[in-house]
Amino acid sequence: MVEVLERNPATRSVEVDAREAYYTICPTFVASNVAQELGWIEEEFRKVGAKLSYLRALPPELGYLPHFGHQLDHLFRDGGNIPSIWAKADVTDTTLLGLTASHHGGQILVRADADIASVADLKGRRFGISKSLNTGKVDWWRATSERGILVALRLAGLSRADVELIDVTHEDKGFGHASRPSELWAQRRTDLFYTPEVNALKEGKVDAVYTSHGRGQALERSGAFKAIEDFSRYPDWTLQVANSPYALTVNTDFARENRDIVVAFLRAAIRAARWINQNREAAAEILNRVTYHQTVADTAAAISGTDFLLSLSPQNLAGLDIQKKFLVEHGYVEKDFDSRKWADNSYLEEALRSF
Amino acid sequence: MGTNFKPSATDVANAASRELLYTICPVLVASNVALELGWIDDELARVGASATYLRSLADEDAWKPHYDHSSDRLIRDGGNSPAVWAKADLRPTVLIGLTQAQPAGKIIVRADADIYRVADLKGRAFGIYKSLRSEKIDHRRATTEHGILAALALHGLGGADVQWVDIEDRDSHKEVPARTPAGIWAQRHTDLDALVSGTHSREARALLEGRIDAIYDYSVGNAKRLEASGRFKVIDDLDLYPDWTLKIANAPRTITISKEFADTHRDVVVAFLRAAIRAGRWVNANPDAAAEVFQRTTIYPDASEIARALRAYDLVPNLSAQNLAGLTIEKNFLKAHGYIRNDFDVAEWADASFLEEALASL
Repeated sequence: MVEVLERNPATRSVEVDAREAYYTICPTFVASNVAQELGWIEEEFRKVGAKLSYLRALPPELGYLPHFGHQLDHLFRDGGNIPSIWAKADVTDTTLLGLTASHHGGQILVRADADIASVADLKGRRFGISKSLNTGKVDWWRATSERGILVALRLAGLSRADVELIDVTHEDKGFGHASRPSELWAQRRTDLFYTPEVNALKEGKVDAVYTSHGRGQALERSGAFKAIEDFSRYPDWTLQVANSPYALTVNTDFARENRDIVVAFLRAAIRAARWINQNREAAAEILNRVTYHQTVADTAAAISGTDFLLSLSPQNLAGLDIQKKFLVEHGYVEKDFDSRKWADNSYLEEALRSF
Repeated sequence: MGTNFKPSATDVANAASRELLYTICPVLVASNVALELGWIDDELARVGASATYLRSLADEDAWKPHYDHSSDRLIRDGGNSPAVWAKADLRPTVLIGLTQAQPAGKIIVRADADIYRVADLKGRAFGIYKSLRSEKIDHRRATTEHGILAALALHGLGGADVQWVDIEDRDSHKEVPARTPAGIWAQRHTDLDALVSGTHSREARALLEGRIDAIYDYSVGNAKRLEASGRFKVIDDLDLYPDWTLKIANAPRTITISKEFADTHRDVVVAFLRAAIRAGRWVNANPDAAAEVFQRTTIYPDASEIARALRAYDLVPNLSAQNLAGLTIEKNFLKAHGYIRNDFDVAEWADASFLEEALASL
């Protein structure tokens, strides 16, 4: 059975030096993934005499749950905003440093041989939806899928009552023991595509699933599936809110006491963002190792419209609020909070000024 | 053909009579660039003629001929509705070129609205611009009406399925005279910034205040600015559909000239078109450079959005069958919806001989 951590401020079993910080990054299109792979975070840390450690290098019983709940006093987290929102709301105090918008809200996938051409055809049919049995973390993938399914139904003029949602459970055990993100994701490339609900779809237990853009593209190439809906084809930016805009967060006490380390992390992310925006093909090679899209070409195509420079712009904050509202209304998060007070732009401003 | 551009002795003697008045809308047409690069002046000088900007005149009603073409020596490039109105109901002009370069339009709602499709707008309120000026065709209203009806039709709805709420504008034209259009629009830029501080139009403000549920926007870059505020979202974009007729409203843009001037000063008209064609080719080859020029000569807010838009357009004026068919669609719309009184034949209005002569000479 999966170990369940209590929701207390931080695990005390990890020894952290005063000037040491851990980092963890989701397999998402964020500049810190590239900054990390190029060694720029370490380089900037060295300049301020700080030490960088990777959360997922810890044994899973120590490193897995803090990736979601931020229960480690010196932690930078970049990536999907659902765990970040949950951590801030219900687990531990963090500060939001920056956001990165995504442009692919996801797809609805059915079997390629199904007589289903549009979401409207799914009326009365079964959607598979992932359900994690690990109660120590927010079920971010279920939340992303649920919002995706509801939005797809809405676009088709349907509502939740028009379909059946079938839980597809999985144990959701921790994993780790990787020196860096590219090593972590290399261990799990196949699992990343064949999530439990996709297997249920393949076996005919359900008629449709929600999937992310990168997964959907890879799954279609198996010949077994087809996408009947793709939110990125719509002009509505709010449809692209799917565990995004991605959030970069850090523990608040650590940030207050180690402002220079926070600025150093941001400097690395800003340098990487500028580099990616200028060299998208080159960046795609690196991002492909740490994200979901199957090939370098897929990755390059997927990031063509992305601005990698972190920003707490009104539009990014509005996107975050759309995600947060959904999580509160659907019970993924207990305590609501004001995202404008969570965000502190002073770190990013200082980092930008320092160049 | 070169001899066409040498003024005759009589022409030089009558230099004053060879003075052309011009007016250009703040939109993506080659004339705007031709003017800024000095090519209109150059080409006209070669035939002993000169061009004066309509709104450089001190008269406080100097803007009016931009809409009603009330001049015997005016060339006009820009939105087609005023040109169609002038031809239909007011005075003889000749159509000498067309440019299809305008966003088809987007339907925008509040970002937090539970509205995902145009179909969800059934029974809801659309804002529609209304000028309080009675002495001109309300081209913004006509364009908006056409766009909203197209969006509704795509979702199986008609005009009666939604409420139409007038968003009134005094439409004052209070800018002081300027030597070229850029001087007029610079005043408008300042005005706009001061007036709306972030929401950019009366329609957008009405939407934000909840007086209406949706607006139609056909500018270049405005939607992006609205989205950046986090308060608005685009739920439909007519440019995403394969049907080219959805792009027809105030575009294709028209180049029109007072008939009596065209009849008596063929070489001056051809000279103007030579400048426009040269500029159109230059824009097509250099969209990023052209975007900087267009930012000064339009009321579009963002050069990078202009550059992106230009990549989808051909800025060399033409009288193609498709553009003439598009203009006919718009003329019929204006007639059917009461914006013009008299019908006419677009094909008879167009005279391709000026453009053919200009093209042959380049």
